[in-house]
Amino acid sequence: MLLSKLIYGLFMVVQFLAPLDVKPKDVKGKGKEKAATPSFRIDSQTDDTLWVDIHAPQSEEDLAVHKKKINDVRNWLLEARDGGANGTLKKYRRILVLTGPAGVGKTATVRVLAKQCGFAISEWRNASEEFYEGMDIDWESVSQKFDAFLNRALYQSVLVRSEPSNGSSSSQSGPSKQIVLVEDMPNILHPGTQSAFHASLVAFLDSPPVTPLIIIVSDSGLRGESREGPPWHKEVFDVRTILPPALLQSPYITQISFNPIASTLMRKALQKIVQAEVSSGGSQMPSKEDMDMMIESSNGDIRSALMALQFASVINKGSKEPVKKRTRKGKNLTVAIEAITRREQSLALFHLLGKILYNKRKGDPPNASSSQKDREKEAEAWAQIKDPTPLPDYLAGHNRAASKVDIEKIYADASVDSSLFSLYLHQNYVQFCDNVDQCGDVSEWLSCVDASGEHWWQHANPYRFHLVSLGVLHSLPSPVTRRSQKLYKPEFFDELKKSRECETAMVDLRDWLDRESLGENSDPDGIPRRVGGWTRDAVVTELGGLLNARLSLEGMSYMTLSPGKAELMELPMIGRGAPFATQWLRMPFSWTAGTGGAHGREIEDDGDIAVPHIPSAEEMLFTRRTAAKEKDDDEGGWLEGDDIDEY
Amino acid sequence: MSLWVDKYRPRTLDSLHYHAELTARLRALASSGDFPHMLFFGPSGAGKKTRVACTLRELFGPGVEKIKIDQRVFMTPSKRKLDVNIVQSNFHIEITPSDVGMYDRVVIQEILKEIAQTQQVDLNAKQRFKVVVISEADSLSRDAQAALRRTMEKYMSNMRIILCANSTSTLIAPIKSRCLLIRVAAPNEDEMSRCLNEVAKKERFDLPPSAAQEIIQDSNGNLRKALLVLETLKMQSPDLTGPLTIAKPDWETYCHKLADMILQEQTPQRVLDVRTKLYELLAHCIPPDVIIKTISNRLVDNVAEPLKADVIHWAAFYQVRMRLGSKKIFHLEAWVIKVMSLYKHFFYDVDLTGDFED
Repeated sequence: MLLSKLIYGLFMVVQFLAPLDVKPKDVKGKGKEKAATPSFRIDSQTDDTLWVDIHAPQSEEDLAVHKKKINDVRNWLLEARDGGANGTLKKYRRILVLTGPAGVGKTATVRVLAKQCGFAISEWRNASEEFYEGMDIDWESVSQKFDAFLNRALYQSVLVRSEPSNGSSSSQSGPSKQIVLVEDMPNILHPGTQSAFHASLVAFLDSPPVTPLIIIVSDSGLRGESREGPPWHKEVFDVRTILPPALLQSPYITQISFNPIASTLMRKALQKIVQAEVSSGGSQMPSKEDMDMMIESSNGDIRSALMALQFASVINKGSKEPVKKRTRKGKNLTVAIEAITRREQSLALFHLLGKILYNKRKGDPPNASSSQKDREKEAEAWAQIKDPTPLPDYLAGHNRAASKVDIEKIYADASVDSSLFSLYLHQNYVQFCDNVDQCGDVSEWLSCVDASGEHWWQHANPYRFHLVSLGVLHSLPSPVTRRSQKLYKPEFFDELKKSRECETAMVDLRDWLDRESLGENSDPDGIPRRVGGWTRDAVVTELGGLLNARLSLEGMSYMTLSPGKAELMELPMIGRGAPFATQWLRMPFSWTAGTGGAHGREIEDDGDIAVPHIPSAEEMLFTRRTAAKEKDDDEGGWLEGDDIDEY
Repeated sequence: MSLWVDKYRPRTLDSLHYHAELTARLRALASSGDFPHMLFFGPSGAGKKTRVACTLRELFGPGVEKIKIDQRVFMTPSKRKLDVNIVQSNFHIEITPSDVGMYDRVVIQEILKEIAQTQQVDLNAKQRFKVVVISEADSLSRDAQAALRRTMEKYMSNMRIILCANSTSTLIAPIKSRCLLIRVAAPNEDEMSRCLNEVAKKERFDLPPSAAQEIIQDSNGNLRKALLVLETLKMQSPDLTGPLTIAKPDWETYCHKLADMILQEQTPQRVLDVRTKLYELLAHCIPPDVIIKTISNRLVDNVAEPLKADVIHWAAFYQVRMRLGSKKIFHLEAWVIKVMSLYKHFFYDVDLTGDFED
């Protein structure tokens, strides 16, 4: 924690210095990495440059990124340069968005490939805001600077290249083609800056296609209870906040998401670097166990793994002790490195759920497949855990053996917040129960914790995570019957999405009823609108039968109406526009859905934390209105993906 | 399209069919010139909004029925723009909090402030104040209620508020104490049959008493539902004689099937099955309160005598949880499992009821 704060502090300092900073030609341009340098200089003899900088990939072979992703990026760059096979694609290769966790080689890939394809990179860096007392005429805000930067970058390749001015720095001059790289975002979380940023991007797309733009976004994981903050505290920093919603689907924007680096690729890359270091005499070869541990704990983040590697070699040198000798001290070293280098997010969701749901306790029968050695090791570990004091007789039903799960540790390492965690538990717990009573206990805990505290984030119960985990552990059978359970993603989000859709359709119907009674289409005797209109609940629970009866009297089953065509028809008993509004009625209940075995989707990946974007009711309302407005406009929108080639 | 339920809705206090005493009182209030804030509450379909509309007409005359819809833009604290359709006449304005979602406080504050700051300029207007009608007041957020409470006192000179709610339990006490509480009870069978016959007369057909009786039984005191059913039946079988089958809405049959599933089998697998069904209901926007109520009514019909009380007790218990919590499915499921386990133990004659703490 402290370490990361330190790095962060230095990061701030470097950010402040950024405009003055003249970069060496091929150094991987990350302020963060450079900032870390002084704090790690333990040994004065050590070279004070970080391995991540020294060994930044120079060629495609050095990249530890999956081949397919490299090809995707390269194709994009080539198409941006030459326009693809028949030269028409250039128009659509305007903005490339690279997403993925930190340290998976997004920036490195871009730099290497840009060089390969003959692009020069012109990069945006946030300068610090200069503040003057009073109003200075020359003062321009960061968003203005960004706008100017983009404009300049656009025409730089056409006009004579000017010296990079404050706020931007270009790495090299030479190749005529240029790309713009934006990695250091302006402060998007501020609504004003965000809209200015969006406006700049839109303007960029409107301009002639000269310079492609690459935006790199590192996923910041959900951490802690931030999601439960006040609704206007939008802390999630992702593609949706960076790109204006209207542009997300446009063909001018390509999105490529990088995955965490596979351990085999990472091992290869690390070994290459270690070999280089060892041969230059700088350090000793770390043991295989150390390597394994570093790769495992880095969770696919090659930068973090490399830092750990360098750190380990520095420590080894400091202690002047041969590394090969696995003494007790060696073990401590491993522990130390592990404690320092472990990424916070490294307890994958899958693992986390397993820990809770398998409910391992002291005295469980050993795994049938485990070796004798493992069993001994386990017994040794058990010996260190104290048995809880037995409960008095009247609570005897609550006696449990000591649990193998350390809640505090799990909480510290958990990658999800309690709300999402409880949804995952809810989706999966049933398979781990033997009878309904156990199910009842678990669900009672989930319900109880969900209802604890208040809606307001200030009053939210801070112990939800603990309560849910402990409650579930206490209620599950011990030992859990193994029946090759599979873990699934919560259906909750899908269902939420469905219900939002249904709600939209229902509100459509209600609005239409309102309009009808307001006289737009109503009959001459003028029935006044009911006060407050129809309530949602009344529409949902009472109106369906009548409308269906009317529709079927019109001689058609509502199931056969297709929404687009039906809108044009006029039904005498229902009125104009009714079929459109009665879309809601065309949502039949399915009795069979999901009954066969598969409940929800399986969790595929360890690092896969699925929080799909569920549009809020307001957003739905908004998109619906804009959709309706757009319908009136001419059909001038974006070309569909299929049309692109013919164009 | 006009529905009978809208077409034959009484529009003046004089034409109301039942609750004569309440009508007299409303008339007196409207003519006294000292009109208080009011809170109408009662079961749905009892005629709350009809009475509100009639009272407004009594207060302001037919001009109140000339309604226009304005689209207004409000700014949320996060600087998001919020488009809201506002329904208003020259004399009153209507707000439905559920249309505005979580930002109801902002919208209500803005609207109230605006009304409070404008004087009635029409010298011929019968009243000096405007009325704000808030329907579905039970879905007002705490924030919005707190915002209301102050404004209600402050701007009494040129604004009155009429709240409409199914139950007063979700309203905070300060609001209740600032309003005149008016309970609109559900009509009894006689009153309902009078209304149904009136509609039949206006539509020029005879409503056989047996059919009326059946509709009344089915609608359970909800006049709106009764009229909708009447219209449906009339459409399906124009003579309304012989054995009538009142088709239940899809969601209700679904809930009943779900209740039967609960009693058929009590295993973890069944829990999963029930969960998907519950999700399906929620995805169709059936209010969770309605789900739990419908299922528990069906369960109570089908379980042994000693279990009935327990089923209802736990339904109430988890309904409260549902209000407090945010993930409805957790509480619905917890309730279903609770019922399952009670039923199972009852069936195997193992009495565990002593074990359950409250």
